[in-house]
Amino acid sequence: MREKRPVKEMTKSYIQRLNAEKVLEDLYLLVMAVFVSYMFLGTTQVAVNWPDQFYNKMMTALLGLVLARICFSKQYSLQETITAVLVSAVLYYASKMNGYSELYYLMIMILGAKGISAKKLIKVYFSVTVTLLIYTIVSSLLGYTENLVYYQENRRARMALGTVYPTDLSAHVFYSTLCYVFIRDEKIRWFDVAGIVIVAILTFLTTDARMNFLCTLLFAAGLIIYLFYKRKTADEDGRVELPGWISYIFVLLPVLCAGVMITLTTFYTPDFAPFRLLNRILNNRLYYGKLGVDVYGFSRWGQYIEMMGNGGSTAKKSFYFFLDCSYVSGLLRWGGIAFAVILIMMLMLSAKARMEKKWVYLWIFVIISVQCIIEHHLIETAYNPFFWLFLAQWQEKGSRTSGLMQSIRRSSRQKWRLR
Amino acid sequence: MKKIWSVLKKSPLVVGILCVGLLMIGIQIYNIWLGAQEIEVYISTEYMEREATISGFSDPKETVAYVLSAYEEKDMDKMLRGCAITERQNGLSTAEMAELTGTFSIAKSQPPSANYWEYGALSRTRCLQEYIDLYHDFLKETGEGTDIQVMRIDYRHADLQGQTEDILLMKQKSELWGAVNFADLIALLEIEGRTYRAEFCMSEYRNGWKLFSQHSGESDGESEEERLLHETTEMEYLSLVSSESDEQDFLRQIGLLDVEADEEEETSEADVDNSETEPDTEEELIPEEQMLPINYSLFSQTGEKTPEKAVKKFYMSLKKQDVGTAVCMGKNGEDAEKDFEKFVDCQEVFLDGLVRWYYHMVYRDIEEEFSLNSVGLTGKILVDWLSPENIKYMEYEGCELVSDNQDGTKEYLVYLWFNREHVITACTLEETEYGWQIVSLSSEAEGYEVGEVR
Repeated sequence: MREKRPVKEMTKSYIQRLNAEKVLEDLYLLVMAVFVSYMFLGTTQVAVNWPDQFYNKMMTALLGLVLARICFSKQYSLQETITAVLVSAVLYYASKMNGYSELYYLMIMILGAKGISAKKLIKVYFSVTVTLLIYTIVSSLLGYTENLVYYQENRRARMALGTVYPTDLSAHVFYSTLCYVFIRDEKIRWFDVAGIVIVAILTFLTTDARMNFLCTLLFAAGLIIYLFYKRKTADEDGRVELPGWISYIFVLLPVLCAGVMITLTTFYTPDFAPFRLLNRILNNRLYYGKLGVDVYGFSRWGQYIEMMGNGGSTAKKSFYFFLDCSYVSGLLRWGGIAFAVILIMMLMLSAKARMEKKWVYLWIFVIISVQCIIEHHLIETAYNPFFWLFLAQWQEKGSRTSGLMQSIRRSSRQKWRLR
Repeated sequence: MKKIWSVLKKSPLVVGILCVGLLMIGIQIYNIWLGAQEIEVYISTEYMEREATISGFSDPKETVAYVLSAYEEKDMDKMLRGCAITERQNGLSTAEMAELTGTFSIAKSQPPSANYWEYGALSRTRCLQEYIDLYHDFLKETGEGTDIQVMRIDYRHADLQGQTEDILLMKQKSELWGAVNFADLIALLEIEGRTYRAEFCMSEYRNGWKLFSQHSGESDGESEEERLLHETTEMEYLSLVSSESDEQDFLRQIGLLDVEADEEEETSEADVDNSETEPDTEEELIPEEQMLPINYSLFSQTGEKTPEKAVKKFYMSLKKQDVGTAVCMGKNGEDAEKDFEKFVDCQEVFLDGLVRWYYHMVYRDIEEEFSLNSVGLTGKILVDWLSPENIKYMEYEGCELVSDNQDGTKEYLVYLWFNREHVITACTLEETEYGWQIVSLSSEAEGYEVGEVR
């Protein structure tokens, strides 16, 4: 017969385990913040003299913490384990095959975020990126960092304010507004939306990045409609039900956007007038996408594609080739298999938001799907942290102490149930 | 069915995953469709299809014996397999060659094929043409139907070749041509009862020794033309051959003889001498009976239904860095099986035009022939300037018919966007059994020279 352990001892061991998990979580968030800073500053003109081997040390620490958290964690269900292994295997193998580290970073970030509160994760990300963004802008305005100003044909002067390109600045602002709304969640109010619109207008006036501006306006418009809808239909607890067909389409939007863009790009021909018009509206994205398809072609595990954009310098470049659409760019560079996995992850995130009736979250995922038609930041660490929520904890916990105690109680209850 | 429908109705995730699956199937179908449209870029003749029996010879004497057997058998393909065709294409340093000569000529200088594979096809075809000429020249001297008997093969003045200065010069030459070693060999041949000397310059590559060139350094007295065969006596021949120890020294210097192994062999020789030697388990290699792997390639042919489509396909292929398909768009007009030499000749002419076009695109003001000093370039910078890597950023803007000639050809001006400039180039097309093909990259009507870009 097994000896019964006293309840007091059991509780103590749980507390120890949970403390270890907590410490590891905090450590992970700290290293993640450093990693995000590193990646973010890579998209700016800020000159940082990173210490020798800094990148390698940081990645080792990050990977070590992810592994330690997995070892200490008992939170992986069978389904989650299979999903995590499959996603990791595909992303890791694809990154080795095509040389794109962003897939590898995504894998680490997804595994690292396991069990961490989604809001906490985004709060850390938001505070780091917004601080660095403000620092970048201020230092460029004060002349410490180069402020690239582009004078392009038929456009007003476009300022990058310390980032590598005006569009990148607007993308940073765009994703920051998404993070802000994610943190505010159901607490979002009119003044938040008004603030977003003001920031978007200021960014547009500075960068003249039309597509990101339109996406931000669309995002704000959706929030306003939601606030109206919520006021009209919310029940006593403030819960809202969205018409099923709308949320159904919203969930499918990532794959719909990807499908439409890939199809249009593949069959694009300048000989067909509607295609020409659409290409002009999308600022040559179909043309360059089609070139990418023709020159490089689709493959299973992707390939390295040398791109020449306008960023990093105001000197006129002799050659230009850039795949802006995340879907076309992703499919060509990461390969069909990794791209399909990423699309399915997008679907699953949206489906989870729908299931948990997190309408604000769902709207954020919808906007990301739309924005990725014109921008290439789908899985970039410096821009989009929302993929990391794949294994994160969506349910909010209370304060730190109560959360800890609640966890203990929950664990004990589960133990009793098992018995 | 109802159940499936209700699942689909309830779960957008399932529908989404199905859509992703459909998208991937669509991409796969597109890839299959593309694959079906792709043409076989290379062709091979009946001779070329013969399988290799050996990957390479580790002894230059074996290669010489192999090449001489090809001459004896009147087997051009066999001879070409023994020549340094792809090896020269991959190894030649155009930069060093230009530095050495101080000049660069579009027509004569080898394109930088070791740096940029886009130039590989021309470089390879030029080498191929050179060896075809050599084959015919040699057989012209021996007489087409005569027997060639190989009496012996030796290193020519191994003692001189093994001198430090000569070794240094040889190493410099090797670096220039991307070889490991060079060695000069001679062969004593008997043709119709008379003895001749033939000289061979052999080059060593990773896959073994290949024929680099053939010469005698002597003319026949009547004309200035250098002869490949020189009538000689056995005594005269032997005066060119060094002693065995000199030969061994030379071989050691170029690494063909392992010094330690050689010493070991010498010490163990005494022990072995007294005992009855075991029969050789290793079969003796007979070079004459071997067949080396194929060492050159021939491009197939294709065309398009309309000249406009052909022009577009040609320039889009160049943009896609698919030089093979672009070359296949060129009119050859010959059947490789029927007239191999003419086939190669036509291909060389077309490739020459293509390389001229590349040169003019990437180095607009390039002159037909110039000295490096006059343009203030070093060999390395010149090769950098000739880089066709940025051709992938070229944009095809369309073409315009400028002349519909009576001989059935059509001349077009082609509009391209490259390096922030609108440029115009020209091409002439003709309808053949393959469809519309490009005859040349020029236009007589508009005064565009071959490969000219304005």
